[in-house]
Amino acid sequence: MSATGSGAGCGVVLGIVLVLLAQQFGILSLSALATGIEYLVIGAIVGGVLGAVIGWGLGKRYLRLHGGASGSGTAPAESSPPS
Amino acid sequence: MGGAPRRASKHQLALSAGLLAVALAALVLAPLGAAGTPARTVSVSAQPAQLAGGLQANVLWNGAEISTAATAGAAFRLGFNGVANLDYFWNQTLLTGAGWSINDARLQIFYFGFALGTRDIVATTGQSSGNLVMGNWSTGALQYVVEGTFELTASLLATNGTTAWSESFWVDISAPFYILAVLPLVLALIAVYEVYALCCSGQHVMKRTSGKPGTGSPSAAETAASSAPAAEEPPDPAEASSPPPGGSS
Repeated sequence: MSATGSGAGCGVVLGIVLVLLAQQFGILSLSALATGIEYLVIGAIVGGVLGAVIGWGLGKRYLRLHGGASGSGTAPAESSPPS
Repeated sequence: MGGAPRRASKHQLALSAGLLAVALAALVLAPLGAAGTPARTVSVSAQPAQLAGGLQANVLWNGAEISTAATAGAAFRLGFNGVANLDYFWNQTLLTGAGWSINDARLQIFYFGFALGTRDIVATTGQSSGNLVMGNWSTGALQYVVEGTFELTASLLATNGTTAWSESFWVDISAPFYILAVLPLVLALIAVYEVYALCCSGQHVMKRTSGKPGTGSPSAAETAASSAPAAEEPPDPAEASSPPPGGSS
């Protein structure tokens, strides 16, 4: 899994968890089914996009600081041997 | 030689610590903000059905009309171990026709559109006017699980089971220190773990390119471990050609 994919995965979970936490803290209300699902989907999408961007940026930064081969922030294919 | 990696890990650590601090600060400040600012941007879904089919009704929550809590911002407060007394009043305004006959007062609390809890008070005979008292209502065991702002629906049921009148209102149920319920605690732990994993997501790149063992998040270590046999360790030819156990030469 690439850094971007890993970040997106974390972001999706974080988005959903933060929406549920917002309900628990009284900021949002998830009493209605349609509204609740709407909030969860929006949270997952926004979290996924933000997480992907953060993961991509962190991967790029990690490669630059550690002298990686490429700066794309994406891991090479599984079968490619390390140089 | 080791200066650059050490500096990089230092930066990574600082970034992780910073993000963790922001997440923890948000977790701590969110309940304080919620407690300090009662105005919440939640849509109103109350159904003001004061007069439905000639039936006029009203419900008091600890002496206050539930219509005053028609928005989430004006929700009634219910503390941990708190109870509420509800008084249902109704009377039939249409004196002609069959009219309504009420023998059941109901209170339901909703989460994702489903009723978390229901309590009924049933009168022995149907009445066209009168009142029912629902005393010492509480969220019961739910208070150990959830907290937050919930929609409640108070309704009056006719003798044939149909809903003669209903109205929704909002109640803010709070746990001690705004977080000491099971669900918020679990969610907070998941959030902290995911922020940590997000901070470590950049290391996925380098582990693949250099083949170093994982030092970051558990998910990264698992990924490296699962990909290691396929990518870096070809099967031993001696093992591959060995006969199965039990075989004789």
